[in-house]
Amino acid sequence: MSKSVSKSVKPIKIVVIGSGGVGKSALTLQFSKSKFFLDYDPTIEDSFSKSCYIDNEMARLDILDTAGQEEFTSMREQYMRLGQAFLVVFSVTDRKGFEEVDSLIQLIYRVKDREAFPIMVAGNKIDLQNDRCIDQSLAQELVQRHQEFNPYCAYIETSAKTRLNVDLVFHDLVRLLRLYNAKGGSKQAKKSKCSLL
Amino acid sequence: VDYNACLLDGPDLRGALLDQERMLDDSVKSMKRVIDSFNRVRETGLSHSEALLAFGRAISELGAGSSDSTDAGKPSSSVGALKAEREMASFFVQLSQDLEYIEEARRRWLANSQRLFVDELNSQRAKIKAFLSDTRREYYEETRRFYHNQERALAKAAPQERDMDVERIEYFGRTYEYVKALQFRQAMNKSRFFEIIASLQSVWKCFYQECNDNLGDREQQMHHMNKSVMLFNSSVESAEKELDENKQQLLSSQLLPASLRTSSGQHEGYLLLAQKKLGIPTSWQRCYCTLILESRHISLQPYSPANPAGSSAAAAPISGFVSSVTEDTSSGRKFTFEVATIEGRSLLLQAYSNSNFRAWVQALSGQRGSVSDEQLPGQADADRLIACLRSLESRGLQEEGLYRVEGQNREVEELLQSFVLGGSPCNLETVGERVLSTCIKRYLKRLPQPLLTFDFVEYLINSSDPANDSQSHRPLAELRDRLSTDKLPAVNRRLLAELLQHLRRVADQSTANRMPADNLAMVFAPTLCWPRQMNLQSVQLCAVEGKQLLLLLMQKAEELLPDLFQSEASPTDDAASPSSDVESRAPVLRQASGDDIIESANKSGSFGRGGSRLHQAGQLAFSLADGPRCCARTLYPCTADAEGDLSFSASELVYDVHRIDGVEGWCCGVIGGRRGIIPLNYVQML
Repeated sequence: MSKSVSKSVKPIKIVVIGSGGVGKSALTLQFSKSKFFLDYDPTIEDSFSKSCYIDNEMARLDILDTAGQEEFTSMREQYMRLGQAFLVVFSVTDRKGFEEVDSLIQLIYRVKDREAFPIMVAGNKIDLQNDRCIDQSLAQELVQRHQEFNPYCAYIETSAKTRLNVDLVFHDLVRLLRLYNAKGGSKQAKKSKCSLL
Repeated sequence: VDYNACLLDGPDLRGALLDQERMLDDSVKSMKRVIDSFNRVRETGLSHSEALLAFGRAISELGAGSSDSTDAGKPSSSVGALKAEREMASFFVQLSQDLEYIEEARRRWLANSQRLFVDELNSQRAKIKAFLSDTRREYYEETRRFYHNQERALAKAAPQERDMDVERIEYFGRTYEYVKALQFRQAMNKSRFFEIIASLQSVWKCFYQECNDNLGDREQQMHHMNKSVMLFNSSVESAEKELDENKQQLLSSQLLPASLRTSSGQHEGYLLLAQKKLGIPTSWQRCYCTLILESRHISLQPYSPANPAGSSAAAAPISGFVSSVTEDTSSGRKFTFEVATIEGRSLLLQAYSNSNFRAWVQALSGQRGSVSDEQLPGQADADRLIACLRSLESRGLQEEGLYRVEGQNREVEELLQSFVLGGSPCNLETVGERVLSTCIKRYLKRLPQPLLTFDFVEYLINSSDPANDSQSHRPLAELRDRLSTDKLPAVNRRLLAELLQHLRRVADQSTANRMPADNLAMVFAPTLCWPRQMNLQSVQLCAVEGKQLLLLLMQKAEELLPDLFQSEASPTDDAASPSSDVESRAPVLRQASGDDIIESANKSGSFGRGGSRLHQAGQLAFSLADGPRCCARTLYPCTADAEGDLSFSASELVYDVHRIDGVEGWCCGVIGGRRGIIPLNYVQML
């Protein structure tokens, strides 16, 4: 039964974005392969897929791991069009990465032409408590500002190295997407169908 | 005692008390029975004594009679009779006395025992009462203590638990009420349902009869309806076919490569158009914009999900001829610009990114980027950028993730605008390594065209071979030709050479900064070459090809830029290990005196093709010297009066300052990318 389910389930396209060297690939690899890779190679683009049960419901995740360096920003809009849900990663040890979170979220709204969209903000590398320069409250504040008009936005602290909250962050993102599809998203989809006729 | 009235009694205690009471009652009853039997005994005793008395009386009567007889007849027997009579009488007296005594004793005993019994009963009762009150008090106290403890525990443990209890009770109450209401409603519904069924039945009956009555009419009507439906279906089919054809056409028109579309003199893409109300932008709508470069005709097709790429003629497009374009800063949004048309319309547009924005503004203002009319990067900018590279080399090569992790946006912009582009003095030593490295990358990325030029990038893309991804499939001779002075502007070549040198140094420290040549090439590729037409495919291709190219350049710089790297190309030409190359040359240069340095600079300059590169080549040679470097700031302006001297203004930064052995009062340094000799008393060491 499960086989037929996994075939029929539509894959969810998750796009992982964030500044350079914040640990997007580490987070994605930890989730999909359950390993922490010590490599320090910058990513241009990688994709992984993983199936899992979330809230007793099958989900097939297509995760797009993207480039963080600002040189690759021209590609951002392109893959943002494809994404159904976004994981915005920053490192709690890197101020610039955090500064970029807000503009990235704004860009998602702009590209998607929506006021609300499922977005998970992940503060990575919290195992490096000594180098920490972004407080949890600071990040919470940012997300709360977005939550005022986008209820499908949440913040979580992760560590790809210790696998802290790694599964949770992806699972929560899928939950947000389901919520979004059940409420706001489905309305818009219906609307667009009507205009087709 | 009414035990039922006592609320605190448990059922067990109450039962025990009731049992005891019953036992008491039983004993009282048995006592009464004993008293009764006593009474009966007394009664019989009395009757007995009466009988005895009657007997005695009878006997005495008999005696009197016999005495009479004896008096008359036999005197001797009368004496005996009298004797017997007396004895009898005494006996009777004795008997009656005895009887009386017995009677009294019996009465006394009865009274005594009765009193004793009553006393006993009372004492028992009192005892029971005391016991009862004791137990009740104990029980009461016990319960009170229990409740007290319970309350304390509750208060201590969880206040919400109490609430939960209350809530649960309320909930149960509500549930009960709800169930009752539900049952009631169910019953109501059932009855209503039956009513409806009944009414339906009657309606159905009527309808059925009616149907039977005019079946013929209905059949005809049905026939007509079927016909019209068929007609409608066919028309829909034809419309769909038409739609499909249209769609195919549109798709095929869209599938044309972007480069083809733009080469026909068009610039197109998505922009956001502000909907203005009373001159204030209120909402932004996505539009597909097409600009014909020849006629400067712009048309904006509002985006809707149904007709992507603005290729449908459904919604009315906005169009006009561009008269002027101005960058807009009043709306508070980034990348906005205002387009004025000849028709007098003004459109406020927003691009998606900075590069997108620049491309649009350039296209709208009628500029068409080409190599010939662009002398960017400017000479001065390049000098300052090289100063940045040097500053970074002097201290920041150990930084982990150099060029990968970016610096803070605000600081980067500040440095880029004020120092690199603006030329205002700045103490680079105080700038963070990440900010410096990001600034270098951003400067290169912001150039109107890549450092390697669009022509080179196009060659790179066209010569890409997906089957052969090794870095050496392009002939070196061809690359050398494309990087020669004819194809690449001098400033670009110089910057490229400096950058390659710099990247080699960064890669040498890869154990500390974790950025080996491979990583650096990947990060730097998009900053050095990007396609003219920004789409996902070409950008990705550029990133991959650029990386391979950059690796090749870093390895074979001496072969590919022979004039700029000749001074350090060793006879063995071991290009694969540039680091050892650098070290082997360093001591030679350190031994040279000041005049020798200038001379060798002149010599190496002579290998270059123009006199303008005299200093550049020399500088490259010097930068290999691993001597103690420091920075200085100029105090006064100075004009060069001999060849090899430097001209400078006040408060400029000097890099790579060396003392020159044997020459007092002079030092060797770099100002704005030029190396030369500076009088020591004109500068202050930093």
